[in-house]
Amino acid sequence: MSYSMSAQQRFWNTLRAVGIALIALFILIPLAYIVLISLTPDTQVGGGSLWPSHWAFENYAKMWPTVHLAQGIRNSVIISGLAGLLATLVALGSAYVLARFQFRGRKTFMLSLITIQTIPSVMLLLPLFVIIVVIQDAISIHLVGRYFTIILTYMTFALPFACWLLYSYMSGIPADLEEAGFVDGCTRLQVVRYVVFPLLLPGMVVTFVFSFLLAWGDVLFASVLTSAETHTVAVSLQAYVSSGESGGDVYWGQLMAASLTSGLPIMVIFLIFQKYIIGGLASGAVKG
Amino acid sequence: MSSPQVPLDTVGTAYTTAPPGAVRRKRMSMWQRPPYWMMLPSVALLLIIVVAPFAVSVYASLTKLNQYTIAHWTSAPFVGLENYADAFRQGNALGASALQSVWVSVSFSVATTILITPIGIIAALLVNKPFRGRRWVRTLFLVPYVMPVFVNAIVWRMLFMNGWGLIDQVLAGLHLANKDTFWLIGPRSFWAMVVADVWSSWPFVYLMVLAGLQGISSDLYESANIDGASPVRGFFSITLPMLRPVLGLALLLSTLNHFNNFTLPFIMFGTPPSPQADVLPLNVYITSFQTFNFGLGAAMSLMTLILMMIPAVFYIRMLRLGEATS
Amino acid sequence: MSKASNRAKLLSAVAMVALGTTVSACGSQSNTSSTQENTAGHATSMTLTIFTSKYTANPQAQEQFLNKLASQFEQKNPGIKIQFTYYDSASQENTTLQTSLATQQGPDIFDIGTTFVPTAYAMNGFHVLSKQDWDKIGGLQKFFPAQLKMSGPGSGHYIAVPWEMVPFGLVYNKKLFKEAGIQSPPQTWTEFVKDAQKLTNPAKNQWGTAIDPADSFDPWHVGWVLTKQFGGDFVSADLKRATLDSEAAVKGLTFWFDWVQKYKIASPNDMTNKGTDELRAFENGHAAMLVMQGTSLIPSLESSAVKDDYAFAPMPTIPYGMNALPQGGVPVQTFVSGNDFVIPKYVTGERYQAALKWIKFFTDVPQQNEMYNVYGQMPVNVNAYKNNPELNTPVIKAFVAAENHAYPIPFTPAWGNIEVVYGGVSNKIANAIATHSYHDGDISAALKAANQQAQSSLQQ
Repeated sequence: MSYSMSAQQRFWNTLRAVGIALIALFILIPLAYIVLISLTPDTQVGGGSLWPSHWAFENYAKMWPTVHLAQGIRNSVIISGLAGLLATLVALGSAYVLARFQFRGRKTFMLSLITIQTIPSVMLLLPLFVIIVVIQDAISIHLVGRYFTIILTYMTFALPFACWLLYSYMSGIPADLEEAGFVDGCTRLQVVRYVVFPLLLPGMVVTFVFSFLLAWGDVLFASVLTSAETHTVAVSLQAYVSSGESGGDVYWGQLMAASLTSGLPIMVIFLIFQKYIIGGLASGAVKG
Repeated sequence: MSSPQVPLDTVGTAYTTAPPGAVRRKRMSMWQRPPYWMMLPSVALLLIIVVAPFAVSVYASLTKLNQYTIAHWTSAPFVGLENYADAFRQGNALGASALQSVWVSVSFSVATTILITPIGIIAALLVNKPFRGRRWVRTLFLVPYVMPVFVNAIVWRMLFMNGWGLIDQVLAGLHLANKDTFWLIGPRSFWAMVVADVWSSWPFVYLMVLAGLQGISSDLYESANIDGASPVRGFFSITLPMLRPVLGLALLLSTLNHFNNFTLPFIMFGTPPSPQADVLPLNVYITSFQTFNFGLGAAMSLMTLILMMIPAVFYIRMLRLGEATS
Repeated sequence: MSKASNRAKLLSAVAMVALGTTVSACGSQSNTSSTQENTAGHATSMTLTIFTSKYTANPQAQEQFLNKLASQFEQKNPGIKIQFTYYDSASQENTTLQTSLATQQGPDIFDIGTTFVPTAYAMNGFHVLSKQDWDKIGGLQKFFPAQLKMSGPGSGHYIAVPWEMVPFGLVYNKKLFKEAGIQSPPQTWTEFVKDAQKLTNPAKNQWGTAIDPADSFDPWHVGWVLTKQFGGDFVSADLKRATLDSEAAVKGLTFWFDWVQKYKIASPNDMTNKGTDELRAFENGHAAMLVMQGTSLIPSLESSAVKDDYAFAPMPTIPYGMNALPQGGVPVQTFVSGNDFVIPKYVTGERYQAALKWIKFFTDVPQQNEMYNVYGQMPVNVNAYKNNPELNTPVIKAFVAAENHAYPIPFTPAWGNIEVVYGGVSNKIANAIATHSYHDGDISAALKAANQQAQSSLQQ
């Protein structure tokens, strides 16, 4: 490659800039609207004019105590973070076996994972709660409302997708490398840790992000399996909407401000993790 | 490097489908039998947290579990397949539109998936190569996916509101439509729902593809470059085949997940929404859970599930997903 | 391979650390929780859990108020501790209720809406209060009699104790009334339409009133009241037959949609409105009158542009074009609306007695007065209104007057189904109007179809 840009390269760079600008615009217009509402006094939202008569910066201050936002964000980070991490690690084991071995029932297992993924969650809510209570009574340890319970629930919900995802990525990695590792005298766990793990990192990061977001966005299970102390931020945010249900006014500004603010931790986490989604890992390893 | 011609066409299969029999035999002999213990945690958790409640739910679909029997649910009367017959008879609050709901749901999930796929792939390609500020762009692209579904629904409801909504104002300003055009009711509500869903869900494909792209060895492109192949050709002959397993999975899950999405129409429209936007899960939710008929609800959910799994199995067979080592 | 394995070591180390924190985080969490449980369960005291709706207009005020009340109560009743759990949405309320009844454990006191009481009664999972129980709460006579009509299917079978009432009324904009030269709020629906026509000016996007057919509840709130005034109901008096297709029901809903279709007193843009959109239109001066849920609106009205201009009046009762109620017509101004306490059957013995004590405490005059002061919700205790100037303002008087014309909805557990099918009709008609495909007879046909659905749910 030469250092001076060829005409072709310039063309592709311009095209990339234009493409990014277009997508960014598509994202930013509704987003800008959210920001605008978050700064509009509630009674002027939808009043006919786009610009408010004055900026309601106080929404960003008032939202904290209204729904215990800070506590909700903290709980969500703990619950989603651990659920995502555990789902990724547990799924890694399954995905490894599924991708590297042929055994009876493998296909059935993979199909049932898709089926499980497709079960409407409203269908599971009531029976799952009953089962948790039965277990709780049997071992006489309180489970409902604990971090432990909701984390385990979310990580399990994330598993089918996580298994498939990691399986797909693992299929793209040549098995020769592991065999080389095995020839070098590694145990199976060591091969997974030192060979599979680094090669699979982009896939694992994505699996983590998806599992994390699944737990982050759920309202249904969090609203019954968590207590006041362990409510996730999604449950807290929904409290804003419920006053609309009963015919009253909604704190539109605070809701939007709180939604934006609660999105920030995910952004930070992704900013940190995205650098592991880097090109050429597989190729580098093949060369090395 | 081997001859450039060969990897261009066969490289996808070389990595993703069956390794030569000899290699597998060798590996099997060296690695003995599969380490099932690695799957144990997944299986155990799924059994307790998903399969067991699911079984209870299947049983409930055969009983008359409703507001009268919920307090003593274990002794709810067994009614066999009656709920299933009911589900066919009364799909909607206004009757006889269960079939239409199926149609709306299928069109919705297919339309959304078709729209988000190119956006997601293009977005991933745009941020695949390094450039200054790339991580900020990558993060920005994730923003719509992070917004809670009901916030997304509220925002798009406001944007699409007739009379004062931003979309009608802009369209009226451009003289494309009347300022009082209804988007949240009537036939247009379907497209309003699709647009709102596309906005929030394309990063799903984007993320899947972005990670899939990392598994493609840059050697392949280099050899293609030497060969003088244009980037466009490189995309179709290298990138797309290599992405097949990931993309195939993304499309399948996107279709299935959108089929199940009911929060969006639930908040965006009234309950029930216009027939054109009355998706099946919402129909199920309202007729069963809001009216406390759990047996019927379970039966309807189960039928929905079967309905979705039939095409899904065909699709998996067709793309031979999950057959990489078979 | 060296570079790759270095990175791998680093990463796996990170993963192990992360896993380690996982385990320890879970561990510490369960420790703290189990100690809490020990102090709650074994010691001499018991903890009553009260499951109550979050007052979203001002949750901090609610928490402060309830915590203050709880500590006063705990001082008076040593050995009983009060703990509140707030629910954030109707679906959360439903799910918790269902799961608690199915597993026979959960909160000790539930807070439910009056229209849900028939369903709760049918669930057969809540205590029917005996005469002695009512005496412990302070006697039936301390409550507004209309509220008790939704406590059970008949006296002697009450499961629900009212703690708050929310009668509906007509809210109007005094300034717009003055501009239009209207002296007083309308007394009949004829006057209502006439006044609304004077208040309507489409060029200024100002309308006499507004409707919200996309709301889940408002269509039946208004439709049921109008139907009763026309002499009908949604269900026959013996609760066996659905009568959504009756002439009165058709007339009631038709009149509502005629505000847009025939009298042009509400904006044709209202077809996609939910309750909160309607309220917004009023607060921005786009609608001059609204049929709306009482005092719960006051906080948002107080912070809006019309805060000095709004007033309440009772809803008209004489149907449009008539001078008196028709045959069988009932002067309904509001359905019996409010919130009640119920005690699940798994709460027994001393816990049950403690729950009754709390309910008595909460519905006594001082606490009811304070509830009004803190968040403007109307007391259900009749004595609260005696000699209390704060509860004798024009606004509150209008609502007390409405409460005296409050009638109960049919006490059927299928009411939830009826709400849903009626919402379906409202939406279907709005859809037809919005797409200009509305024909006379559509309402009657849709109500007929809805009636079949309602009928099948009644037979269960």
